[in-house]
Amino acid sequence: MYTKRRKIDDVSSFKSNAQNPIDVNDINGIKNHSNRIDTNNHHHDTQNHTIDNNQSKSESLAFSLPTEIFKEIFANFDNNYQTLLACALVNRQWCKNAVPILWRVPFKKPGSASSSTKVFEMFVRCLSPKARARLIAEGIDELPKPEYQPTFRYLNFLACLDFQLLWETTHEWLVRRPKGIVSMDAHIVRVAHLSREICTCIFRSSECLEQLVVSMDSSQLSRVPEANFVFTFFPGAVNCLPGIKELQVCGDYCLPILCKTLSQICQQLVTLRIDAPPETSSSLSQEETSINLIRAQKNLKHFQLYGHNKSTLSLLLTPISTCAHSLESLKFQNINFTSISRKAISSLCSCVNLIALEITKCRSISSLDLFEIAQKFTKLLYFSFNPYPSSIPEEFAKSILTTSQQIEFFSLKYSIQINEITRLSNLIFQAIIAYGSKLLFLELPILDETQITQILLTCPRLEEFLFWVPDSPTRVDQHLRNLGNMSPPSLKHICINGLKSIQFEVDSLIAFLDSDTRKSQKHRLTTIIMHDYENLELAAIFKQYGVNDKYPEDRIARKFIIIIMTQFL
Amino acid sequence: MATGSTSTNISELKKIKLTSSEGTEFVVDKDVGEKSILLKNMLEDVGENDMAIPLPNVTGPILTKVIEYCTHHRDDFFISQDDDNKKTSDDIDEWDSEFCKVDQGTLFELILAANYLDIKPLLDLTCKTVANMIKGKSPEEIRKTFNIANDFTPEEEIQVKRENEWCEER
Repeated sequence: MYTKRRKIDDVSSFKSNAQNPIDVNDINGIKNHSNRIDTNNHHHDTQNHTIDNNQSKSESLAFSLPTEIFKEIFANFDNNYQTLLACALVNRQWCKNAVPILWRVPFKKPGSASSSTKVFEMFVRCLSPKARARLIAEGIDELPKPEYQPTFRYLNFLACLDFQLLWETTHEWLVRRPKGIVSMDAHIVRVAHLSREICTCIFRSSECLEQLVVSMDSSQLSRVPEANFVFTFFPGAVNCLPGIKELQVCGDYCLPILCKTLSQICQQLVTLRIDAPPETSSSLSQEETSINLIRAQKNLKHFQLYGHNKSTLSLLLTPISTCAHSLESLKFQNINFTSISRKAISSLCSCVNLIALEITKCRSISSLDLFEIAQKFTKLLYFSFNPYPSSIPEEFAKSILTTSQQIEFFSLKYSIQINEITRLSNLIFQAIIAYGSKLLFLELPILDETQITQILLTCPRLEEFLFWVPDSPTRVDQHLRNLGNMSPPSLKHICINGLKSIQFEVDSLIAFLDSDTRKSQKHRLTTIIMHDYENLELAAIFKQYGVNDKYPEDRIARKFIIIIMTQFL
Repeated sequence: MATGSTSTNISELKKIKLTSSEGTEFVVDKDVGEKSILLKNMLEDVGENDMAIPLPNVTGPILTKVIEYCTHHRDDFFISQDDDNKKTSDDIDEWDSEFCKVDQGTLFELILAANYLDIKPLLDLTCKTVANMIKGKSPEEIRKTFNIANDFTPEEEIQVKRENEWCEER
């Protein structure tokens, strides 16, 4: 982490190490200590390496950069497994620095199990002799031979532990062993034992576990023994779990026991997501355990609630007042607010430091006292609202804009049924014109040409603009000309949606792109997405002008979602 | 503004003095110097003082480059990015990209200086530049690019490859 500033001594010491070779004759120094490459500290690096006397200055530096610099460089290869793997194979030093990043989130979602079982195989190889003995005693005697030791303790690098993925991968791995499945009951017991041992091993020795996901679908859950969720009984858990920053829990079955356990040891959560299956009934005791988990938090920043359709919603929302001052983002998805109490609304209103609010597909939104809530969120920067199946509470959207006056991300999303898309109401439009001068991202329903023009003229910082155009079939020639003439230099991404496929003269597009390229290279349009429009000629034009027809990774929306709406990994 | 040791211009802007590893003195505007969090904290701790701040880990030529960067970006608001803010290696601004067209030795020295002086945007930029030199290359091409010797034994290399082969399915 960059914030750990290096001391003067550190810098000079690794420089001098690079210039004065440390001869370690043991080329297998890589396995000097417990048969593994040490990843903790770059001081060890120099002890394990032979560095050539005659190397050039640049070689010595590229060869012996401190670990934190490698981290900074490799952080640019987020999800670029191929490049990270290439880095790991450069030499030992690079290997030690790339492998921990590669293994942060190695499990893939179900569906392509082959790579996950290869990952799991390495985890099984990392088990201690005692753990192996316990498994053999339980009849899991087909473990890989202990003679072969992995180069690293790969388990230590895991940043996210997803119990469903672990359960499924354990199942897959055992199915592929020679014994396969004898009987389903016996198989489930084997899966439970093996996954528990792996878990224990992770809890014992993890260096960077940050995220726990216990969000299993109900068909899987009913099979998992309760003991697999009583983490406090897992050796090492008490030391490891207090470091968890992000927790996602779900399921009527595991929720009470899990929340009870975790509320005792996970008190430094940054992100908490609670999922509840919408159609099941729930008992009060289940909610109470979740409440304890929320109340135990000292510094919660992000709270997300998914699929809560129960009368106990208020019980769950009221305790967020205990972390109201640290809360920065709230997300509600598939929630039915019918039964929300006055007390729960007061809790929401107490979140005065909120900078992001997302409400997606919730019912009975009018039960919230939206106008009162909106007036409390004076620091809001991000507002995303997908009203389906409700209609937009216009006053709410308007007061969000008027209260904060600094909204940078504003999205009124219409994701599903096209025939339900309505024109943007004049009330919200006027609020955008009056208070939208800080906007970077804007997503709106149907706009007419005059509205588009006015928005472009009043949002000088706009980087991304998504909107729908009326009429069907839709001609967007005039829209393109307007965009070319009036868009602020900051505009990088445009997405035009039509009710049916969009039509335009290629000349209009070229005129638009020509007007755009007159701007400096720094401020250049990079993306145009036109709903339902495919044309080979168009592809050639886009290529010529260096424009994408799909979003690049670094778009502003992504930055917002990453910075504000959670997800470490 | 970077100046030589002899030209301590009198202006209304407050100046600070820095000494590179060879003992050369640099006089820079305070706001430029304070782009370095290390220097900013140091100045806050020490208070008004005419003493030159010694930077034994930064050579004169590298300090000149660092000052050039901080001067160009003196009016930028440096946003402190959290570690969980994922990075992308595109989108380097034209001036920055020209600034990084230096030999590898200088580039790595710049990285170390940015890290030591705690100038996050410069560290990000230089690391991004190195990342762009690595992206999409094979291990052998990376070794060639940076003149790195392969110190794996053949057995080790095969083992690491085998243990990480799952990556290739991504």
